[in-house]
Amino acid sequence: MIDQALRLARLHVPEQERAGFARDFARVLESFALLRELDVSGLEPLRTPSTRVDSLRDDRLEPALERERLLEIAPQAQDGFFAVPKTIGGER
Amino acid sequence: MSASKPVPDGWQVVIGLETHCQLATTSKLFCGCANQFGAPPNTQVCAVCSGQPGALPMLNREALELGLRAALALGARVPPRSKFDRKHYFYCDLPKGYQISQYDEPMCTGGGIALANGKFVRLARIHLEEDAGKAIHDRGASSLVDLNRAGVPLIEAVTEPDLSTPQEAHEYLVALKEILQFAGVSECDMEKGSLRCDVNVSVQREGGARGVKVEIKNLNSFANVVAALEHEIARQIELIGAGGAVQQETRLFDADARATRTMRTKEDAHDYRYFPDPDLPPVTLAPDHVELIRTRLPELPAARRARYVAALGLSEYDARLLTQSRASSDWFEAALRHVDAPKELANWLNNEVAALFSEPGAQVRSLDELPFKPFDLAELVELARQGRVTRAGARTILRAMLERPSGPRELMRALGLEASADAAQLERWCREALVGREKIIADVRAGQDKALGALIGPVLKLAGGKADPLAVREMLLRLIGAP
Repeated sequence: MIDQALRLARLHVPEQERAGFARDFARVLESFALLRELDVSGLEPLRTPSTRVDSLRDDRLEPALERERLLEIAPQAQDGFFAVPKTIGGER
Repeated sequence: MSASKPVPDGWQVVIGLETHCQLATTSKLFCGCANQFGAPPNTQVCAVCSGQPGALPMLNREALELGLRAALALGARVPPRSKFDRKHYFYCDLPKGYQISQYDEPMCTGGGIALANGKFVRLARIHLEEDAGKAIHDRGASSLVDLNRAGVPLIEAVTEPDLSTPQEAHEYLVALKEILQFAGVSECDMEKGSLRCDVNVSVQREGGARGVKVEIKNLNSFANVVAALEHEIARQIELIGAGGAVQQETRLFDADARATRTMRTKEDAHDYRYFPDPDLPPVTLAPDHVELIRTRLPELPAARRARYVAALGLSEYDARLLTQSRASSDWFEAALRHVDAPKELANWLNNEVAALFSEPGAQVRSLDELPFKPFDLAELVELARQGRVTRAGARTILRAMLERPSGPRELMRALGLEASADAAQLERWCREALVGREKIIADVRAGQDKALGALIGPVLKLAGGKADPLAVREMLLRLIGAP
């Protein structure tokens, strides 16, 4: 399971550290197991911690960021695009 | 579209469709960047849609309205509350590492589309979500990312697996596109990617257990949907027929090779780790607000077609042609306000005007590009109805209307095409043509109607294009005294 979680999160943890990581992970899950024992029947789920209600914006244009500023903070740019390591084939 | 191979006897095909459609808003779903196709890369990007830390999304009211309009036009139910969830995956076109979508409380459920064969294709759901950016892989050593599209509002309409043939899938998509266009929800321009489609397909032996489902992505035209389905159905049947088993997987359609290839198998199927997006409050909708949107829906294509047939007396065929787009349907109705002859008007639009669009080198390809107004065509049709101009003459005038900014009446005079309204003149031409053609006259009297053709030509020649062939025919028959 720890391998699956690391893969999904795209985290690289060296082999020798995985056992310790797995122990920490198990403790987190134990805490959740405690929560799971609570009787919450009759309670509405909290869907959002936000107190905002139906905050909608009007369909109006706001200025975009300047492209130079946007690409400045990217590790790499080319011809106005973000340049990233080659990834072929969509993942969606 | 060519008729495709039917599903072979003894096999059943189960198809479901997922269609993404970009909403025609001014700005993006959660920020004020422009929702516009074709801008230079990364010029419509802000802190929100580029996924900068701390940037907060805020829902676009118009996107919600358009989504609801789509839902109601498709007969869906709108629950009083929906919410947004984060769908996680890693890809370079998704700056936040998750897409804001709707998981277990979508904007609406149910609804569907009726096909001509009576089948009702049910929709499981329609939800709102943001589009991803665009990655380009064929320009050098790196992949290049443009985030202009990131955050553009989408609706995703998911059908139940109710479709049984590629043709049904095609018909559903055409109808869906029409409804979304008529409702003003989206341009549905597949070339610009504002309508995109994924399909799920499985095959099974008649009466057998449900087959294993394969998903095909990357379908950017209706023709490709049909081609991909045909190919995939044949592939699966051949595989099972040879004793093999279909693998649950996602395949990509290669339009050039007209074949599908594996993209990922079940083992690397995604775990999207959905959870409620804490940045966005749930959306609550007052029932009377939903009702208001419903009452404001324009008349949809199926309803228009039914009205054209029932109230205007048009054929199903003509009604269908006229409602292919909202623009053509509106154009027809605008012209109809000026001439009380729906059938003639429909004939003119679907035959003479349509012929202009399909000519090689045509400058004009749709009604909204015509240099004249619906009123002008109505006037031309009226002139032809009154016999002021022959059908051939009216065609010449129509052509001239493309070139010159004059009304049909002026063009008729300018081109000398005013038909002789004078029956006496027509009779003189006909009598002249009859001279010396006793053999033909005898044939016509003997009931050989075909022989009449040999007389009509000479009369038209004498009249120099100012006589209506139908009127000539009647006059000739009267003069000959044929049975």
